[in-house]
Amino acid sequence: MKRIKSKPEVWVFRMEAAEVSQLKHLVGNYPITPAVPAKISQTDTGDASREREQLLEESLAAHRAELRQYTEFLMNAKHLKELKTCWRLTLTHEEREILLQMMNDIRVGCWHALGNPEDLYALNASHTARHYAMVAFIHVAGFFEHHLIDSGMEEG
Amino acid sequence: MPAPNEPVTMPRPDIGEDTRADNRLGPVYNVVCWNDPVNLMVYVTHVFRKVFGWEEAKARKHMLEVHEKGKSVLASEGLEKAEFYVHRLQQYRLHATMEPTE
Repeated sequence: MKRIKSKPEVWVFRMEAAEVSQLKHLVGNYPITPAVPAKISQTDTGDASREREQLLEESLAAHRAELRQYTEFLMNAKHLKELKTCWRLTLTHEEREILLQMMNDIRVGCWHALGNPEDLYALNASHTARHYAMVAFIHVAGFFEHHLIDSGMEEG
Repeated sequence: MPAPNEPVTMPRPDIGEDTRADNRLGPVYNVVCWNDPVNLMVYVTHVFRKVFGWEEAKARKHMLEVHEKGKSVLASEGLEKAEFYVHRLQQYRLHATMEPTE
């Protein structure tokens, strides 16, 4: 994945077929993992704080649902086009931000699903295929995050 | 050393003029971001810039504080604004909370 062109508010990336396949898989299966309970404070456990926590959970669920509405849109032919030797992904600033949030939601969601491990690379023979798949999702989503963020920093 | 009748200036955390609370309006909450092993450093910096409108250097400074010290106080605000920031940061999936200052 490489950024090849920049216009005001638009980023164009050149992608290999394998990268497109991975991105489609991640976006197509978003959010991959269920929501986890939200915590609004480490120290405040009063009734008011619990009410605020409930509001936070509703807000996060609504945000996730909003992101999910973009899954087909971002992968349609307007954004993702096959060329002779590669693919081209075109995103506005807002669309790039949405895709970035999706990728990070997948990373964090998979990390929670694994039980919040300190070491993301610790794998052993006792782990299941699901465990390996979650670790793979974390790393592939991170790959796209890096490229999407680096593209933005060039603008600064 | 200031004279007895001069006000003493206490150091304050670098959280920016636009995010300092007015204590007269009610309880103040620290918006805290906690370290975790999954959010990428470049992503955390990006989110701080987006949510608080900070320059790269300031966002990176707070990101490094989270990474090295385990947490960073990003803002001190009244209830509504602190809640707003925590919602925004958690929408980005950062581990952020609001803690009463008293």
